[in-house]
Amino acid sequence: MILAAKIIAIIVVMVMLAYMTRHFIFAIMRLFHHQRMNYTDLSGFHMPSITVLIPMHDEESVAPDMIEALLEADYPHDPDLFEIIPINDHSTDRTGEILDEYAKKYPFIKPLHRLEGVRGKPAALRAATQLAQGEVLIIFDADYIPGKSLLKFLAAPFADAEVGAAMGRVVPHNVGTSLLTRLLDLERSGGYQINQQARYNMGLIPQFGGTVGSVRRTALNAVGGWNSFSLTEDTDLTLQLAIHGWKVVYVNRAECYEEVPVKWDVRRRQIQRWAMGHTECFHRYLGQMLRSPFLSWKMKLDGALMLGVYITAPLLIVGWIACTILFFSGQSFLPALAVAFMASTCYNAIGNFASFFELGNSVILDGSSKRVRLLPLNIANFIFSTAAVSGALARFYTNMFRGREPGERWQKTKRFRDGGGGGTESGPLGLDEGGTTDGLGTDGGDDRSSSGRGERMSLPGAGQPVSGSTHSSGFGNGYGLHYLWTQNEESVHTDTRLEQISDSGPALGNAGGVSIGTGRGLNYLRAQGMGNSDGHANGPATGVQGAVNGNPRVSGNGKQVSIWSMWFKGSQHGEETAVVMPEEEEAKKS
Amino acid sequence: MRRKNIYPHKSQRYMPFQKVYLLQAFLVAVVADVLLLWQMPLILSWHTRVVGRLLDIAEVPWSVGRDLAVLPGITGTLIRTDYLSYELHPLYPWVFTGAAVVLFLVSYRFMIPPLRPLLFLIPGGLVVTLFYLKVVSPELPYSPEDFSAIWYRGECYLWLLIPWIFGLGLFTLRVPFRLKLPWLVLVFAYSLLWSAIRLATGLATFYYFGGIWMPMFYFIFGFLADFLYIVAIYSLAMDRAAVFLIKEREVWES
Repeated sequence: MILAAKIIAIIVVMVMLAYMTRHFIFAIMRLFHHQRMNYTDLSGFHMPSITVLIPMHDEESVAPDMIEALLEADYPHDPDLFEIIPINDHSTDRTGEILDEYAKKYPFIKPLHRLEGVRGKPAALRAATQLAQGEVLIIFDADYIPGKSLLKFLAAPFADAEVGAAMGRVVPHNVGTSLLTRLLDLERSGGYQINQQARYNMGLIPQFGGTVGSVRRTALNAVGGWNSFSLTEDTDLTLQLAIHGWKVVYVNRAECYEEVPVKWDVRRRQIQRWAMGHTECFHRYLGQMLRSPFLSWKMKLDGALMLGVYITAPLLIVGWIACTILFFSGQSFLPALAVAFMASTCYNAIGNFASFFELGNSVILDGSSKRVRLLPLNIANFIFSTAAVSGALARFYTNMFRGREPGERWQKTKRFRDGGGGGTESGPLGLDEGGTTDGLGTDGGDDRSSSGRGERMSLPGAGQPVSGSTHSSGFGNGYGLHYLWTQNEESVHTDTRLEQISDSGPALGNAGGVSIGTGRGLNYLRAQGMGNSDGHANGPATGVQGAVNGNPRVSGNGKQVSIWSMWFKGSQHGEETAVVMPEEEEAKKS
Repeated sequence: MRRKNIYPHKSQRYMPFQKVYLLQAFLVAVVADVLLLWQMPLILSWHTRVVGRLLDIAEVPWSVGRDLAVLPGITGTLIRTDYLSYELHPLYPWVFTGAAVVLFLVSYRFMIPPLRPLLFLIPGGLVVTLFYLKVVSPELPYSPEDFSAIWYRGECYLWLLIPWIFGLGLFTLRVPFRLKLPWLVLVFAYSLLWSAIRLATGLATFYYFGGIWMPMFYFIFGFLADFLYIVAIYSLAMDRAAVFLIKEREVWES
């Protein structure tokens, strides 16, 4: 027994050392090595026809944010080039209605309602892919908020005929919500800024993450399409593409904002699903991958380590048990073994399957500080994940040996964004009518009930903002998408037209129908204290028709925000309000 | 107007590798290890004195134990203390284990989920040790002096490892030396003092409450605690380095 414990401990130490070395190489290569040519330079020059697929199951609280963000994307809204297929996958809430309302407004939004058949993301994607017209499919989860240029970034790599899939970077937007979100922010930072980019730099296989990713239709069809029965269709597809010789690339510049789990039980379910799906792929593809003629030995080695990453969790527990046996057997005078074991486990532990120096380097590269101080607390995340993953894999293998389906089928990750909001008075989405017109808005003080689109905000020194104080479903949220974008782009744009409008507007007025607002919009940002604290929804309105309350606190915190993204046509109370893109407006004028 | 230094976007920036910083890292690690090996007997002696002093404060009787060869040519003096005898107090292990289990179960629903598996290690470790004491052997395989020997060896190896962790993790960065060295010194100072405090606490616990607590001190308050403060100090160092590097645009290329 002692001998067995020693052998197990040595094996565990060796495996952990292999992972530690791998992470160390990644960290060093990413921080110091020249970055591999990326395709962002082609962004805007190579624009294939794209179809955006968004699987949704009971996503009424987040669906409008996602769609609105896509509507603002700078990809040409030419139906031949751009298509959005939101997939209503057996939803029992109002997701379907919301999508239908958008479809009425925008011809390139073509909702797919799936009410029968296998539920789940892979099955939904499979069904939607059959309808998609685009050469390139871009996939998002419903809780994501793509930036304005994201679609271009994700489409550009397909100028290279060898590229089968491209993956973008995921950045949590609800970082400050809880300790878990902060830790996940660190983890995502290490995972994308270091891990994915380093793999891409080194010519290994970056992982296609199943969201914020794009895939070439022909490549997808060539490898048999989405695996409807996989828990992690993304890993499945990554392996399929790599095995068949397609390149998977990572575009670090393509940042998209996601909502990470706020609660630990949601995180547990999420990581358990990943663990089971990943391990399923481990068994399904390891042999094929090692035999693939298209992959170098480096790719195969890294691929094997990547596929086996979740197996390290139960392996660690087995190692700890072996260490305990050695301790009680009086064998702990083997200090080298004990120290090496402890060191390697703890070294990998702190970063939750990513070493702490990987996370530290990612913070350096991101140019941020302070958040790295949370690094020691990741031990809690590590222990938690180890327990959760081990439990999931125990269930996985038990089911496998009993001949049952290895894991539970697709489980949706719970959303935490508050979907409450107005809009009830003017239709489910507030798309049809403007908000009510009672001046400052009776619901204005309630962060949760003001709807949230905060694109048009004032710039200090750029003219008085146009602030439509609206009732429930008006524009609002003094801190919308563009705050994120401008943070990212480090640039501020002014809009002369807006200046003119705002100059001409009276100080107070009614809200005058500016409620393109979905009745829910991005109010979660505001609820997080990022919005205009006095609750005035600072929305756009024309100076002539709409309400301009001249609220000087329009951006909520005085930060400069971009206002160039969209042009709105305000209208008088009761009139239909539409989003008008600059090109469309020019066309109408002419 | 042409900007002097263009700050590359974070997605593409990297820090051009300079051999001088790698050399610096190796030199620091080697010099620190040589210094440590040279001064190790003195450090171990100081460590023993601090532990003895802390045991005096805790009113734990102790005596000078045997000399331990930590590394070839390097010896340290161990401290000898006693266990609480469970033959005289047979209920103690049951009480400790029962109390830990009950406390864990009662507070389970109030704990945040990530703490549950971590805190489970305490009652879990006590249950396993109790099982060992009642089923396998009434005595643990280690005396407090043996425990000190394990501790000294482990800590010595760790002290020799720290310069390499910080060397490769911090000293390779293009950050002034003055922003790196203090952290290394701090981590050593903290490590020495914290090691003495933990060992003294462990020995005092064994004296007053018995050996059932030994695995907990070995596994949780041993190397795991060591790595926690190493990472904590590393994170502070990286925080300061990040602040410096944000201002130094010429460091970055894309």
